[in-house]
Amino acid sequence: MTDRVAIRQLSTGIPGLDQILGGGLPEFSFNLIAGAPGAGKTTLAQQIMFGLARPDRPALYFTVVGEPPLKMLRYQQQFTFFDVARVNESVRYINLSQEMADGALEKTLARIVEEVEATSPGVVIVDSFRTVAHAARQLHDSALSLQHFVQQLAVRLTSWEATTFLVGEYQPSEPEQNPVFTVADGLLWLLQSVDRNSMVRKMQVMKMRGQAPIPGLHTFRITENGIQVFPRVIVGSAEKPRSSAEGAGRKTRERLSLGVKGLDDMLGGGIPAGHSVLVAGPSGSGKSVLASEFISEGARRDEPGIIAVFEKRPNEYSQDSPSGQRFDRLVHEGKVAILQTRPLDLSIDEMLSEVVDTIHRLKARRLVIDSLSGFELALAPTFREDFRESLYRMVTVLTGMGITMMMTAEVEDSYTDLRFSPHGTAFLTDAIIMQRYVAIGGQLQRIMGVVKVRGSEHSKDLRAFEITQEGIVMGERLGGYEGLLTGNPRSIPGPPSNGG
Amino acid sequence: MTAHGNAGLRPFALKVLNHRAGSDAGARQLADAMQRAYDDLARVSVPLISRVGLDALTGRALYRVQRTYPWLVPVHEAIEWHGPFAHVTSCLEQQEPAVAAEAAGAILATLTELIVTFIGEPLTARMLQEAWPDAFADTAPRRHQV
Repeated sequence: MTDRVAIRQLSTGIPGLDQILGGGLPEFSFNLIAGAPGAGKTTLAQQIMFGLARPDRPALYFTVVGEPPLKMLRYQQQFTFFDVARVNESVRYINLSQEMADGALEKTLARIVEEVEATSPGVVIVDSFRTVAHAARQLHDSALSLQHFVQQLAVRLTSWEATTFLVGEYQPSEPEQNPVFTVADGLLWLLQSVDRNSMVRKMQVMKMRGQAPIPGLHTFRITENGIQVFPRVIVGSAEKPRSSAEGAGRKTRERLSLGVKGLDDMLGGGIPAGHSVLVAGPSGSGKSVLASEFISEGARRDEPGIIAVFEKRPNEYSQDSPSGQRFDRLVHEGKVAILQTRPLDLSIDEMLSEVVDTIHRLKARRLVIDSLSGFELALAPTFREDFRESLYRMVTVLTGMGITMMMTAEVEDSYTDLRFSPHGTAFLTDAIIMQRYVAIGGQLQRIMGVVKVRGSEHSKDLRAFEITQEGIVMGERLGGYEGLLTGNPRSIPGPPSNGG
Repeated sequence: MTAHGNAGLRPFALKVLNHRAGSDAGARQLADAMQRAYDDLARVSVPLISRVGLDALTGRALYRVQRTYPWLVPVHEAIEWHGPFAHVTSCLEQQEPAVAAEAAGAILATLTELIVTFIGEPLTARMLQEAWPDAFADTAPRRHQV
């Protein structure tokens, strides 16, 4: 038994919110949801209310002069969480316009307290509290100052065992001056981040007394189902390996086959489990084909896989070729999932959230990101600026879960230098496979080589390969040439014959 | 839907009035019944949609019904002095009972229709069940049928 008081954490029911709050909402806390107009404050408050309200501990939603209740009800009903059947049973709306119009904060406080005492609610929301505060400043004859009003409200509601949310339009500069911010136990700040033509919604838990929220700005999305928060993944704290037998332990022992005969040998026996592999090559060199072989081979070995598609259409992986048909069958059997994510306004955490959900659903062990360039383009501009940092977080978290990742990167065929990624991200990966075109005998040929496999021996050969109806077929080592990477190799003369 | 397009709601509105006024009621009883029905509706709807919201919808309903019953007080005048419903009862009292009943039914039906338009049928139905439980004793209202 501990001497410390136990604070029960309430589950809000909003995906991702409990996580960023530090495990849930502290029961009986007095919170402020703040942000500019259109930030999603009312939607968040309503969704929390419907998530927490119960018939024996109903929710009271006090509306003040802000958004007219008639319109709020009209719009909020569009969300699936708004359950009309619960209105007036576990959810009650009370309009305080009259009390505010009458002029004194005492009347507003008295009405709130009266309703709370009559109902014994578990949740109380005042929307918009900014209106109350604004009125308080204009009412010089009111016996109650705003600070006193807020303190009274906090004490009364907490003592009646209610978890409270004040909703208000505030500017980021206000917290220093406003007593509401001082009194509140929790402060959720919502904002719309606009960069060029793109808008991303973000949420910050600026404080949550009694527990440790995840710091930083978390992206969220509002859909017909309401709000979904994508917690900002902090490396080292989010996902742990599934078990001690997996993850790091597997990383040093087990090798995963790519399903391409000869290539596994070049890698030293396959890709070490939990490694990240970069496949770099020019357009059309066969990166996506290799990626789908990697996923297909995994599915055949009972290692489900995921392909996150950012450039191609999903059906391009399941074409009429025998290998394409096999791939299609694996998708239908649920051994392979194709994620085609929402383009151009994605956050890395949203992408990661979807991938992790799919990993858990499929019990996946392999993941392909095809391609890094497409992935970067799919991100909202505000996240492209720190793409390397974002990618680092994603790779670290996913490989930390024991997932073996393959990422494709399109690089221009430069014959004066050797590049593996236009993103400067090659250092993030544990292994690099390079594909190139070379001209031999008047024909373009594809060649492939293994550049690095961290902590492992690997082949230094450059081998020709072909893409057939059955997939990738590795050819011989191109030992008779030099200058292959210049794109214009020269045949090395053989040893002089004895008769010569 | 126009004031003439909510015919489905009118029998329900008349039922609400009949429950309060009784059969063979005179214009005065009908006007009283109308006021009580409106007050009951206000009691349950004001917490939900606010007094301003109800007043605004009432004003709109009266404006629409006034096209058919021009003897109703001009809406802007009524709102300015006493709220949109203030003079409705006195206007009704001066009519023949049959006309008063028709007009009162039209007002309640139009107001109900407007509330449904804004907050939806399920929420409106729950509100009306609380405001006029007697009218729900043997039937449930549906927007186009009752």
